[in-house]
Amino acid sequence: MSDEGPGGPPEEEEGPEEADEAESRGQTRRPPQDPREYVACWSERDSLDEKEDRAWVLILRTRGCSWARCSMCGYHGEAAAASVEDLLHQFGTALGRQRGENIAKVYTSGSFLDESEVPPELRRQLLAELSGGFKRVVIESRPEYVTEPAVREALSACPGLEIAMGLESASPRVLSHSVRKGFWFADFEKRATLVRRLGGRVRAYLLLKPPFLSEREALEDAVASALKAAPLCDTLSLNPVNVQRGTMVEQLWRRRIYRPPWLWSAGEALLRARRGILEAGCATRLVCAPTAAGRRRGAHNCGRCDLSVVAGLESLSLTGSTEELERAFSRGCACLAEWREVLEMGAFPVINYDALLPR
Amino acid sequence: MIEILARDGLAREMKWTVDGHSLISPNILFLRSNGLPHFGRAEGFLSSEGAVEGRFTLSTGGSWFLERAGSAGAPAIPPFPNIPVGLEAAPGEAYAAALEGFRASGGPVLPVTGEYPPDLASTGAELLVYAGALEHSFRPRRFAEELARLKEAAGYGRLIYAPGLGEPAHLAFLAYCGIDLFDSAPLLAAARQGHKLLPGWRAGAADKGVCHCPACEGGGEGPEAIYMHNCFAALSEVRLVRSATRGGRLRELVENRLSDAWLVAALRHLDLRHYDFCERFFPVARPASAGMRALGRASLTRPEIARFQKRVLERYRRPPSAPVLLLLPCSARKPYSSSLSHRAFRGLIDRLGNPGAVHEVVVTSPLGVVPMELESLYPAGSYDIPVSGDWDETEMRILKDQLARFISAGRYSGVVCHLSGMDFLGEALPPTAASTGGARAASHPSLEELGRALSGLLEGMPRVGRRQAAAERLASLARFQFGPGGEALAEGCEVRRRGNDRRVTDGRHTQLALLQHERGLLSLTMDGARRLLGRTGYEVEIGDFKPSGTVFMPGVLSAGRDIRPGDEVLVTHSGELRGVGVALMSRSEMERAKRGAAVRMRHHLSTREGGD
Repeated sequence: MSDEGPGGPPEEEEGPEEADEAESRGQTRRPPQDPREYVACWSERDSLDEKEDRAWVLILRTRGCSWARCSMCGYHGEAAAASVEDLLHQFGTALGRQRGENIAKVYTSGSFLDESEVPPELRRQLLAELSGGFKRVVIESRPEYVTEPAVREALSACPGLEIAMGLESASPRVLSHSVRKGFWFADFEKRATLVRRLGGRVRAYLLLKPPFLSEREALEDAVASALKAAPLCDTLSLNPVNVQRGTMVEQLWRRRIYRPPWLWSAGEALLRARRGILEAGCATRLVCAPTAAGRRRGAHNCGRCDLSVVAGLESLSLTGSTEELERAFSRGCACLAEWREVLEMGAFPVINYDALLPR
Repeated sequence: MIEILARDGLAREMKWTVDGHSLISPNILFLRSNGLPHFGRAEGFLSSEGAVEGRFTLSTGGSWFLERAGSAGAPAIPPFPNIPVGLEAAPGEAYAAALEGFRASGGPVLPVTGEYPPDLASTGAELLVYAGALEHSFRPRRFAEELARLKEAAGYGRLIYAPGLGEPAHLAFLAYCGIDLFDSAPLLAAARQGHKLLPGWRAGAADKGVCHCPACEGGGEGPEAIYMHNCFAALSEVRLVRSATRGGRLRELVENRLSDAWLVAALRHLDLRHYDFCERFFPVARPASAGMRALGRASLTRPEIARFQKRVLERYRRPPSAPVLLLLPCSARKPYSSSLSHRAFRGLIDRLGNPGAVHEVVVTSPLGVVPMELESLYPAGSYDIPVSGDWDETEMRILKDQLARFISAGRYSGVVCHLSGMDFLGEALPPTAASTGGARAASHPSLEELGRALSGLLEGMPRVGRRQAAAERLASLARFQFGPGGEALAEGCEVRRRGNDRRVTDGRHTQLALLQHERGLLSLTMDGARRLLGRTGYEVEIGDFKPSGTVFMPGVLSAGRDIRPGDEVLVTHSGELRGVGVALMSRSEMERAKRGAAVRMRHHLSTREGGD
């Protein structure tokens, strides 16, 4: 008996190659997690003060995010109870892979400022060490840990520190019913203002296409959120949702009622947000480096044009120039018309048009 | 306002009127938006930019997440979170939000995502937007389950719109499921992939020149031209679906359209796993023009067939004075007794001198066993099957099982099997059964053999009087139609045959009932009905008024448990018979509907009682 529905082919069984998320970080995940091994460490292209540069990225393995309820986030699968000694070991090993990058991004699969993940002593020690070796340091935290004492202390150990927060969206309904973020825009606003008042830099992550939103709603929400958050941030990073293991998004994706965003949407959102930010007279930098781009679990187009759009996104992120991205749009692709139709179908939120198209 | 124009099983043809604009369902809401091709022939639209001039329009466009209202123009689908049940941040919140939007809109449209609280029916919504339909349709088993849940909760008197469903090949089946509105999104998605949809066929680039609809005649091979073709194809199909619903032939159309695995599986799940839910909506009588075509495997599980088989085993009792079972083949001509072969069998039985002691029972696929008294009943009275002499496993199993249980329940003194080409039935027969069918049941040698076998069994049996035999057979029929209480109709009665019809009197001059082959059921007179009063599940209790013509819905207080559309029913008030008529809806519907005709009266208190 076939399970083929009116909407398309039967649900595909997923192959072992589907570890997009982990693979893109240059390693394969093997449970159970070893507390002495970091999650991932790599080097990537980035920019510093409008000049191209490289960033050394380290994901520390900690006990994990204290919230761990977001619909799209599978990072809690990477947690392990790591002691201070374990964390120092992870840090030490990773430092050995540093190749003279000027930027350091040190994240946990949760909040760097959560003392139950990274104890305060260790936090100070790591930040001081990073401050000595890099021109720009970025850490990431949920807003509730971005308190005045923590920020003061972090900034004194590492002046110019950039604190990133996953805002995801500025819309209350998207935050509570789609992302299930557990905080509101006002919480972010308060903490972002605090960081800047104390002399730190702010980075915000925004999601493109959290669950239950149509492609069009997702695009509009991302742009609106970017415009609302831009005055509070130095950097805005647009993250197209990718399908991570053990998440609600993955459930929806397997049920064929979720498709990751089109790369066209990421491009369009970036172009529109950039226009709006410039019009508003903000100097906020816009970046977008989609995880698993071009793959079934990541933001993707038809497969033929994916690379050119990704190159456009990267170029805009690194140099601030929209030229290459605009060229990708004007060069076009057979799938551009389909994407436009998908957006048009967003006028009918009651119809899940994604579910009617092949993935 | 909703008016039900016609019913066939779960399917309805309805007229929905909002603000002076009407739409006949089943129908397709064609998408109307600036950036999409516009299908001008549409009868109804789903529009993101307000009403389409002069046409029925359902408005959409609002976004719950972005807290943005849709375009103006009633009726509108209120913005709601389209979140599947179980994936809400808190249980029940998607429905609560939808309900809130529905109330705020003041309109007739309520979206539901798969959660159906008991108060759903009392919301007053005229259209339920079944937002989970597309996802549920991915798995046929789930689809059948969810559909039964939804229909149970929604009741019969409102429309259901399944967003994202409605490709031509599926329309007949989906309407058969009781879904009323569809949209053109699947037509657009198919066009985008280069599929030209025809009912039962997905035409690709290789199928050139296969269609002559206005869109195809106009040329063009791009997605937009294909979409236009798909729109024409869907509109034609939905009109055909409406026509089949009116004519009582929707199941025939559904079986005709079984062109993909999904359809076959979904229909099978509905038939096999949701029989109790579906069956009660299927009529017990149909006009001869809607004779059943049982052509393939899918027909074997048709609810009317399953119900007939069930009632033969559960309700039916053989005439007590006829202990000799004679199994006969079916005939192409209906009723069986009017066919040449059956006239030959009947002549032979009569010549043997004791016809009342012989119980003639037809063995036929897919009905199983049909006692001769029931030959006029739907579907026995008018069905068509392919007769090639080949039997598939399921068919054989059903026949064997049905026959073995029938024989065992009947406690016959002797069995003669006068069938040919059905040797597989052997194991269902008692070891003492005589087989006389030979190569051709109606041939001389076979008939002679039948005569010998029967006279052997009849030897020494007391002769059964003609009138008694007829009364017993009528009792069996009445019992089949009305349940055990129906036997009261036959006490001391006399049956006169006129052509294919039979007139039942009390033996003096009072007519009790008439059995017309055309209708297949006993039509009662007031006197006949009085005999059944208080004895059956076929009574409709009405308010204190004198019914004439038609009993309408608000007048019905309660309805007997066994009532199906087409049933003969007694109309009563506080134990008093007020009339007799034909039920126009099933019991389930009578119990919940607020409007519509419930019973078409045949006789009522003030008319002269008597002939039909």
